[in-house]
Amino acid sequence: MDTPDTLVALADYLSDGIIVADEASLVYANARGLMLLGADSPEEVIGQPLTRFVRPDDVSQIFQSMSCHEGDNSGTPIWGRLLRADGRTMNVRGISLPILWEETRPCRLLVLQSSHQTDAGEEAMDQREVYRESVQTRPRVGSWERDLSTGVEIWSDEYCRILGYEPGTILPTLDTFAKALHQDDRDRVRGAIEQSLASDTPYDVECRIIQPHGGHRIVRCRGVVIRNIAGDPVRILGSVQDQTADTPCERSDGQGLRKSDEWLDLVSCAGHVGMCDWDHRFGHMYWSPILRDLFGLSADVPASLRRYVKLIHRADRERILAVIRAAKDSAGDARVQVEHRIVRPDGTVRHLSVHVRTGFEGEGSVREPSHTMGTVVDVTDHALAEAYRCEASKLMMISTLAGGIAHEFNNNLTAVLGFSQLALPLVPADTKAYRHIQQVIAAGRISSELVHQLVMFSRQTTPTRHSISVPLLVRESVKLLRSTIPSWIELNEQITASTGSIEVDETEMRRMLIILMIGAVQAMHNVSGVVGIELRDVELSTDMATASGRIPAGRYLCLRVKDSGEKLEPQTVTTFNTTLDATNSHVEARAIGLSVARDIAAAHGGVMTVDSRVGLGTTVSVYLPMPMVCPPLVSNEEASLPRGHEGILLVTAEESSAKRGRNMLQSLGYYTVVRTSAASARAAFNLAPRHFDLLIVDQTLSDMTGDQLARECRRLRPDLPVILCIGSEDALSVERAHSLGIAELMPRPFVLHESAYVIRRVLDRSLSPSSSLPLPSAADSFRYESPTSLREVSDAIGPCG
Amino acid sequence: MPSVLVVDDEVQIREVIRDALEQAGYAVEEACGGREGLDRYRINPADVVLMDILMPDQDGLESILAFRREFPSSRVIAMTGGSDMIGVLNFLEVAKMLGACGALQKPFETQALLNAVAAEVTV
Repeated sequence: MDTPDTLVALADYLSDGIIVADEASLVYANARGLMLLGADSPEEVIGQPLTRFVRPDDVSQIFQSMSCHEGDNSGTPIWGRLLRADGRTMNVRGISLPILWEETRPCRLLVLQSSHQTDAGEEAMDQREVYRESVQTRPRVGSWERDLSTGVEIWSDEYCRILGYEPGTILPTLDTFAKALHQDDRDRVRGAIEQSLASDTPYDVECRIIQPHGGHRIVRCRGVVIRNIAGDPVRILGSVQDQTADTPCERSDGQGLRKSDEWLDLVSCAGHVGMCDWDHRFGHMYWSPILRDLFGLSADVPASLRRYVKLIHRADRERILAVIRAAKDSAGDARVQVEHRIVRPDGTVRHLSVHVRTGFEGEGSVREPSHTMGTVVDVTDHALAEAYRCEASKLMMISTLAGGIAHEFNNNLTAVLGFSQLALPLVPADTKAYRHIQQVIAAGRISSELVHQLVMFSRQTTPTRHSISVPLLVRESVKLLRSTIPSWIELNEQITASTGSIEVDETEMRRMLIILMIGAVQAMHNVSGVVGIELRDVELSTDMATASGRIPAGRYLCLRVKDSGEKLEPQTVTTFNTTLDATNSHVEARAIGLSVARDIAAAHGGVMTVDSRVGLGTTVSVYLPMPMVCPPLVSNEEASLPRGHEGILLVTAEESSAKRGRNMLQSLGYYTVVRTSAASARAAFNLAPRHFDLLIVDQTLSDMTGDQLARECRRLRPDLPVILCIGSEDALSVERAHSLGIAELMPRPFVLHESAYVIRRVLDRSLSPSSSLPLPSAADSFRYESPTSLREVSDAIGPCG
Repeated sequence: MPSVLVVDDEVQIREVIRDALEQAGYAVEEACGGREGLDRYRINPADVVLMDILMPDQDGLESILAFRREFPSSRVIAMTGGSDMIGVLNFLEVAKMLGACGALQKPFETQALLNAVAAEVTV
């Protein structure tokens, strides 16, 4: 140790205050030390007891600091308030070192800095005072101090207790404190301390402490950074106030506990939060009533892990079991947040968000889980909303894409159709080239219609309702779909509705139709089968109860889409909105689609029902209410189609096609006689051959082929134009048809838009002087004949017409 | 001989319309954009203008307005292959509101084209 002379010589160079004192009195103070003591000369202080220069309430602390660590040459921190000779208080801090003064006298060397020597020091010391006072006066306040250069921390006993440790049983380190912090609070507290270090301002933050045995405390952490003369941070002083006692549950009077329960009930009810508690030591498990409600279990079902695992959706089960194992792992952080699905006993599927925290007992190898607490919230709506958002996003992209494609296609199709139509008259009608160009025109028209359908399906518009022919929409949608489905799936279209137009949002209605049809097709899963699409009028004399709700008595347009695919899950059938349970994307997409279709039907005042059975597939029925008086079967689009008043004999084997064809032709203004067999058609024609301007006949009839019937009719009327309707299965070649005098071949089934143009073209051609067909002498006279006469003929030749 | 000015940026479209109209006895002039169409119309006013909507230099809707401003008596038929909407109206409906006397949605039948042009020539 330095001699006094050496020390004094050195002390004179120091800017710190140097004071040497023994237990009785001061023995030395350098100039700076004298200034700290408020003395002008050494004589004023030397020999005076040190206690005279220390504020009374700091005496014990300062002397305690001075007396501890005897024999330790490393020095101990010291801080306190000096009572200066001028009566002012001086905050000082520094270190205390044991020395031998004059080689024999044990003294303490105090190296002190006053608050006047640093910019923030005084304020910091004042704040420290505040904290010290706070520590002393408030219950359950712990204090701590960290030496930033060494990392050494000093914790008060209360601080240890707040963190859940008995004083002296834990090494006070920053890491211990950080681990005790709730994981959600760690970043916030760290940020507050870093901010304080950077800005030289105290921090004040509330956070949660998780104690080793699982208890939790809500604490208020406050602290201040102490800086040296150069302004560098050297220490942090802090306090931790336990505020858990301020919350209702910690009040010792019992009323607090009751209030706490009330709060808990209120919050859990408001958020419909289920709660569980699992005691690992005894294996007891508790489920709150709300949790039982979420699980769909009654109060008499025992709560158990096994029962819970059984509820978990099979696709999620392994994942959740792994999470449960991890939550119990003593090496883990004991907190888990996970989402999974459950299948309730009634078959409905719900999405749950689960937060659990596991408490542990013991340390090291004997550390084991004591209990797990958890909250459970139903997030099915959120999951569905997310799924819908994805679907909407996809639709938006499709819409954009379709719009761009449509523009390019339509330009190209304009050229294809235009040039083909210009080229056609330049080629002799009896050549292959002529027929080939005809095929190009027909294909171009079909493509044009498909593009139109694609655009209409994908268009995102403001909902607007117009009087639209639903049968027409269904036919067009079927046609659009037919070009996209695999060949092994058959589309069976049966449109028997005689209803005309009803007020619908065309875009939405198209979307609903396509969703239902695509869903049915996808349900087939690469196996052959039939998708049936029916549209018929339904009259309910009484209310009809369905799983989807009551359908009031009245008149409806009923759309049915049937498939023979796999059975849907019960919850999909009954509620549609608990749908994200599927283990494959097709089923999930169909479930979402059904939900969308249900909404569209509901928006039109309708109801959708689903009937799904093992081995029989699924039938989706949409009931759209019809107005008391339906307008005629003419839509805005139909109104712009070419029309006429000529007489047409339509022959088709299918009753539904016959009815639909008659409606369609009549909607275009034609007087129509319809027959479903060759024999009855021949009889009608023979009765009044001059009253027909056109024969439209299906190639496939029950008693004769269409071309044979055409030949027989043309024997009586060689000028009779004929349109032959053929399907892909019909083997009739274009050459053969032409040789039979067939004016046009038309694909089956009828599509109004296309048929209207073909019919008008054929009729106009038969009128044209350049037509290869001779103009019958009686035709003109008939054309100007009163329409009533044909109606009379129609009536006379049978009810079917 | 009635005359038609075809304004379309697609050369194929101009060509097919020209052929169809010339075959039907019309004199046809072409322009590949709205501004060029207006320039040509100033030199040689056609009886009917067929105006595409979606064109790169000046879109058809602007061009229809320009025609209507400078030549109020001009007869403009709008045509488009696009399906875009402005609010609840599609381009052709908007074109009509801006003064187009007719509208053709591409692709169209040759006869529909002839009918539309003939209707304006005889007005």
